[in-house]
Amino acid sequence: MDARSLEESIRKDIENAANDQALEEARIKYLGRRGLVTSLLKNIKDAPPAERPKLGATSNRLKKLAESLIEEKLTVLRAAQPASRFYTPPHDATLPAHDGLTGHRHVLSKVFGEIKDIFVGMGYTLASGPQVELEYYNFQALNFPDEHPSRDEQDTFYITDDMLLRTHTSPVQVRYMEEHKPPLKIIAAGRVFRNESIDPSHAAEFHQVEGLYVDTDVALADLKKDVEIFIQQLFGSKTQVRFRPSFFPFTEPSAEVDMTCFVCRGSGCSVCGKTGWIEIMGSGMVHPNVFRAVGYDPDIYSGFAFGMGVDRVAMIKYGIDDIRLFLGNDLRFLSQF
Amino acid sequence: MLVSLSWLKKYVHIPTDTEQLTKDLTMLGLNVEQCIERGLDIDELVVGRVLEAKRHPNADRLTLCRVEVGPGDVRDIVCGAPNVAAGQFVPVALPGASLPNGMKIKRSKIRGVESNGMICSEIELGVGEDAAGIIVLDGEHELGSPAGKLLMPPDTVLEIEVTPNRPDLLSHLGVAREIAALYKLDVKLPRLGDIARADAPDFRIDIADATDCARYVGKRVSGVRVAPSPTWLSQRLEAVGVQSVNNVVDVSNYVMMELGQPLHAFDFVKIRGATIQVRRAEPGERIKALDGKAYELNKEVLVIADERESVALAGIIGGEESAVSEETTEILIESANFHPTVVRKGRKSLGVDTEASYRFERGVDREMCHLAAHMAAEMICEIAGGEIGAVVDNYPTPYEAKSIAIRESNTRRILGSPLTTPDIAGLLERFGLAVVNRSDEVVSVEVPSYRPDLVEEIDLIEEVARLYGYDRIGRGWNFRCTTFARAEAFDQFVEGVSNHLTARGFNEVIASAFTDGRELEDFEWPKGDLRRCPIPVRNPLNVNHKYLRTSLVPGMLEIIRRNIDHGVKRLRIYQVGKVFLAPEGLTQLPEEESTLTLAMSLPGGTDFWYDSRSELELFDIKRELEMLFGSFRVELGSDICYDFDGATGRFTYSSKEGTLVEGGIVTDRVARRYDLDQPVWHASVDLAKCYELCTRQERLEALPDYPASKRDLSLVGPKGVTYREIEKALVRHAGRLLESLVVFDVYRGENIPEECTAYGVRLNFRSAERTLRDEEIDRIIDKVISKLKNELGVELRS
Repeated sequence: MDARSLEESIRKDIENAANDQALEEARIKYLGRRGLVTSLLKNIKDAPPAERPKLGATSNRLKKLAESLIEEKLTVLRAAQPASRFYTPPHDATLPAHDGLTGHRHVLSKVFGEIKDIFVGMGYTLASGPQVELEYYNFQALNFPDEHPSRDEQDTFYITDDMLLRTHTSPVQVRYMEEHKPPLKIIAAGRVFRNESIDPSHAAEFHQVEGLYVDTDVALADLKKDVEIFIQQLFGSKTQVRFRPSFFPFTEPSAEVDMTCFVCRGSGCSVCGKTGWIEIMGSGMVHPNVFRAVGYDPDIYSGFAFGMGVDRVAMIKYGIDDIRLFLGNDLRFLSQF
Repeated sequence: MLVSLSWLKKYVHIPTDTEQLTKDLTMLGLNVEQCIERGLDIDELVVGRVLEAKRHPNADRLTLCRVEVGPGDVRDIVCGAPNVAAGQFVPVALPGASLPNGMKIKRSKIRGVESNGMICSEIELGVGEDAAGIIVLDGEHELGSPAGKLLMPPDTVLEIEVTPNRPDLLSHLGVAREIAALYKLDVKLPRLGDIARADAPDFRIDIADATDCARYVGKRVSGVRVAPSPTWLSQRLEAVGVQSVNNVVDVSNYVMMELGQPLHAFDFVKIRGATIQVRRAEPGERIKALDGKAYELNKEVLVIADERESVALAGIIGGEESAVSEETTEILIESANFHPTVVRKGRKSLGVDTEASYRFERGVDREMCHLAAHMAAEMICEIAGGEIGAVVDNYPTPYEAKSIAIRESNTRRILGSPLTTPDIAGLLERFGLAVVNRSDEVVSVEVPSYRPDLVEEIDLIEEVARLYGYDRIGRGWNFRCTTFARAEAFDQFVEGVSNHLTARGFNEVIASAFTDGRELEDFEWPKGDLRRCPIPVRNPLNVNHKYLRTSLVPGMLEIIRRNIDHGVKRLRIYQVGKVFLAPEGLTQLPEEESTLTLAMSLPGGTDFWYDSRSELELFDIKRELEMLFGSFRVELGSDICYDFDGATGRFTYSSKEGTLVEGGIVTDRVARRYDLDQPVWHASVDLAKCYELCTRQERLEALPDYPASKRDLSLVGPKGVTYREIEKALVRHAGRLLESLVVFDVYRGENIPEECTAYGVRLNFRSAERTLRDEEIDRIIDKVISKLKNELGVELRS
């Protein structure tokens, strides 16, 4: 067979191979051990020396041609075959399979989850207490004297003379200390209530996380370290933290905690009121009167406490400008998180 | 609290610029919320001198002036003010000037005469209320120089957030003391004239209760002329947010803003019997106060009374009748100290809040009374004329100076900073606390009368810390932890439930704990169910806060309705929250049950191509609940059973502990109330009870060594027999070799007797010890079939 007819025959046989088996037969026919192309190559050495280069070139070309045609045909055959006997191609595979109804955690749960994970990693245990609380735990035990103006900052919903809706999560501190001995390191979280008129930055119901660490010789320096670690974990390691003196009845010394504005990174913008700082939590060393109320000796034990609004943290973190969105439960809002 | 820097400078030197001062004060605990720049900075407002003033040729009421507004620069200006006269130095707005009231000055013709500017009045420049005439500047001034500075000196006002423990900072003097401490400076106290002049008093002061009123200083001033205040005084007050009234009232406010002592000025003539009584109000006593309102008093209210009736509410507000008016010439200045709680209770019972009550309820320095009265008297004489008269100082409860000790060791322990005794003493002295005793370990200081917040050692430690600088504490400190923690088990359980549900396509919602109570009519909760009597809130904000919720369902329906309004109609939501349950007449804290509520809703009609069904049905929510239980390995049948009321669509799941889940479809009655036009299925889960079931100790059961044998049965249940009954009988009679069973088909219709149901049930048998023989299983099946027939009338389908 001359080279030309051999080439034609190769092309025809491969082209006509209807399945893997026919293709394999064609391969054996040309490229098998006794295949036509293989024999051609074997016979080169028997040809006159003058013809050998030409014959060699032709044989090699045919070999490469056969190989590449087989490869191509194989791809074509594979594509035409069903991938699985359990599969029938649909009419249109581009149709959506899901109606878009996906589940999302509420953004407050999400933020609280992050906060909790950070604190658990730092050795804080989760504690809880009732939302309908005794006035004693909400105020007196926390060193809010009766008829003291410090109570004005926490407008209260009353249930009875001595029962109220807790205005902060701090009563959990007192309840926990009453039942446990130091060392203790807890966070408490949950719903709190203030009888305030509602606007984009004020809600009658919001959420707090509260932390408490009591042991012998816990210092303001420890508070600063823990809070700084927490804030840098939550908002990024470049965030700077500042403590400025403030007043809370149940802590002393007390500090308001500011962090560098996440928008302008401290240079001053409209989000932080041009100060470069954003108020993020209140904190301080547990007041001796609180220890006395739970029967701890303030000369033996010291401790710190801090608290922050989960709603506020979420607002800062996600640029949410209206606190009412949280309990509004508009799914167009919720499904963004 | 608004403080003016120029006012502060009367008491203390300020060695830095405003920006630094703001930072330093903030870091000292006096949070500066904003800085307000004040001053009248108007281009083209200059000092001019009226050279000539003559009547306008075409108008009787206008004056044609020649005004020199710069050396040699003389202009014609038409002026309408009656008080303009030659020789006056006046503020002139030249063409091009823009005034604070929006007026732009242009060259113009007034009644045919050219006018090249305007001579200004107070109201036009916004520096006072006087609109009757132009401002005439006192003294001589450089012509053409800016007039704004003369009329309203530039000033910076700081708005400082004052915490409730620091009443002393509600005055310029108090803030000046902090600045002095900050920059190691001295406070310059005001120099006053002879304070102890001893005229025989022409009045007396009776204090009924020395606790209610620790001190009452009355000081007389005679022969005053009540008039508007001079500009500097009204401007100063305005800068710190106080409206000018008249010279006498303004002086008392001025002294309050300066020294922190609230004062009141009585028209002495109106005090009948020349007697001041400090006593509690009689029930039913009435008074018309300075705010124009009539108050009915009660015994909580402390009053100032003359020999007939109340003339003022002590520490709160003066009475209208005894107030200083334009006719007043004889004055009695009150500078007193009333008890914080008494003032607070009184003003709360009356619903008033004033600058005076604000200070008294936080605590005012009783040592300041006399000085403040005297300062006011001197100022009144200076501004309103008159002469200082007699003073009565009734001081039944004098301030007793006490000292507090602070330990070096405790300071270090609390702060974590290596401060020494000399450091501590030095810092406290900067605050004006005199060291009365000192050892290697302890410093004792005397607490001044103006610092009621300093009670015990920790208060001093705070003072040390904030002056030392919070930012210097704990530098290079290491994280310290003496506890170990992991997430709490119940919390992790709830977290697991939440994650399961979100993966199943449920959105978490968080709703209000309040309810308006409208669900009470429509949710047919059984009699005696605690959900029927929600706990009322005593002082609700509005009708939505009337009660605490007893169920999460109403709130969820509200959420569903709102979302449908927004066009979101396919809803799968869940909420984990507290419900509040208590018997009526609350005597102890209510039960707060952690509840999970699921709700699913779909509009009628197919609205997604891939869903074959368009209507939600019971099994949709049942599946969710059973998957949830299944994921915690809680077995239906053995651990919990369920009851389904076919007529109403209600169902419950219960265990030995009681009801775990309660749910159903929203009834038409409820749907109407919430304006819902599509089916809603819901289920509420008692999480605490489920937690008990779902977290039992588990041990591995060995995997089976021997094969299972399957048998399929086709059973026909007669009318009225439920699948659960058949299953129970099957399980009971098949014995322990039955490993599991599953319904693979349910059929009603042709070839089946009417009202009967055919169930295809696959039984799985297995032994842990051996391979089961067919005959063995055949025997079991025969027994089961005969028992089913006998007990329930269930036939094998032929």
